[in-house]
Amino acid sequence: MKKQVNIFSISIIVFWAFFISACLNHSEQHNTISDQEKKDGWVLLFDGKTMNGWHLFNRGNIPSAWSVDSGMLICNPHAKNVKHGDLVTDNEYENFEMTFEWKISHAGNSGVFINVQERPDLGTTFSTGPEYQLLDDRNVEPDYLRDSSHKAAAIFGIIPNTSNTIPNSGEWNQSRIQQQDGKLTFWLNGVQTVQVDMKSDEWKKLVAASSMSHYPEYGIYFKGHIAVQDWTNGVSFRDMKIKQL
Amino acid sequence: MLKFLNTSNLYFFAIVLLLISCGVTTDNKNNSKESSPAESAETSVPGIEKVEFTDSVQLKANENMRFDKELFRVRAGKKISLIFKNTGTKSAVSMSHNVVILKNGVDIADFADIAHNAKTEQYVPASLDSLIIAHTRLVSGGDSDKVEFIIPKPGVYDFICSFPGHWGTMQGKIVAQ
Repeated sequence: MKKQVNIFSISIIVFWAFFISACLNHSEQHNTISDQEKKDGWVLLFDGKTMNGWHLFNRGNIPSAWSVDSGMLICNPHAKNVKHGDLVTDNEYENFEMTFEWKISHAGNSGVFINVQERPDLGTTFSTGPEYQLLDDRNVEPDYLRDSSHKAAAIFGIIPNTSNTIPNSGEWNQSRIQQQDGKLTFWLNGVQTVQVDMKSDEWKKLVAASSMSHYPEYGIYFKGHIAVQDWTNGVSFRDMKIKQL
Repeated sequence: MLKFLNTSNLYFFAIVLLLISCGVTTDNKNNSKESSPAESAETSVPGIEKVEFTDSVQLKANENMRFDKELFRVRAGKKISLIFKNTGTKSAVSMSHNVVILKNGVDIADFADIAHNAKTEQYVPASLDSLIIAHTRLVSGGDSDKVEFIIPKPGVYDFICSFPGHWGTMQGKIVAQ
């Protein structure tokens, strides 16, 4: 009887071990597209295994601080003997909806740029492309947030995130960008943070009054590459998906 | 059928299974600052023999966040001038830069992680003095700065802009021979 009980209890342990194993493996199912998403036109921007479809801004496919690790697209500032710079998509996008998850280092700073033009005479992605700011708002130097357009999910330097939504430090955050006919909308963790018409006079005035006015081609394009920023202090991405509208 | 699975074996099997499960989900990203200065110290740069010796390291940069030159060749033990001009637009919202020459083998990322927080010291904290050969002040658009320095020993010395977020694209090397 006692032996039967022992075998029974061990069986329970083994069952739970398999169950937990299955759950943990299931929780790692990232960078996938469901059948319904396929029907709706979604495709992966990052396949979870390679950097296919991406290259270093103005430098092509060379060793960089960007790599793929455990299903994440990561920027590691401590990578040795590599070039630093922003990573851009090979393709250009005009009217689209994009979703992605991101996790930033402590007090970290990065961004996702849209409508990026890639030419040798343009030194940076941000000289043309508006930036969805990624930031560890809770731990960054408070002085940096005096300008509320520096907050996460703002259009960096132009339009603040006034939603009072801030990202979760040290955790994955969900972001969404939609651009259609120049109308740009950002969301952070399900909350809309920014909406603006980049073809409006209001947009032109905001740009002219900002530090981005140093860049004459900033914010004037409605189609371009998507870029992720190497701000040299560590950021990770996953589940990057895009749908053409 | 499962005679080999006695009680202790089953416990062992269950524990191993759990450990494997955990192992599958372990984030193995290596964020450690494993490199000591001695391990990463460079002694030369390929092609340096084609670069003329100079006693004046002259650099320019602007809102494009790149130095106009990224490689210099100087004589060890000789006085060198460092002249940096920020060619960006002179305005209240211009992008500021500096030039910090690091000692041989200093890990740039480790240095920048600390300098990043030293806003009141123009991102060149006194606590890191022992890692620095020389540096300019933080220079805004249209302005410039000049300092002099001596590199006592031959080797490869990185220079960067230590303003937060700039060093990735704003860096270069001085080879002292």
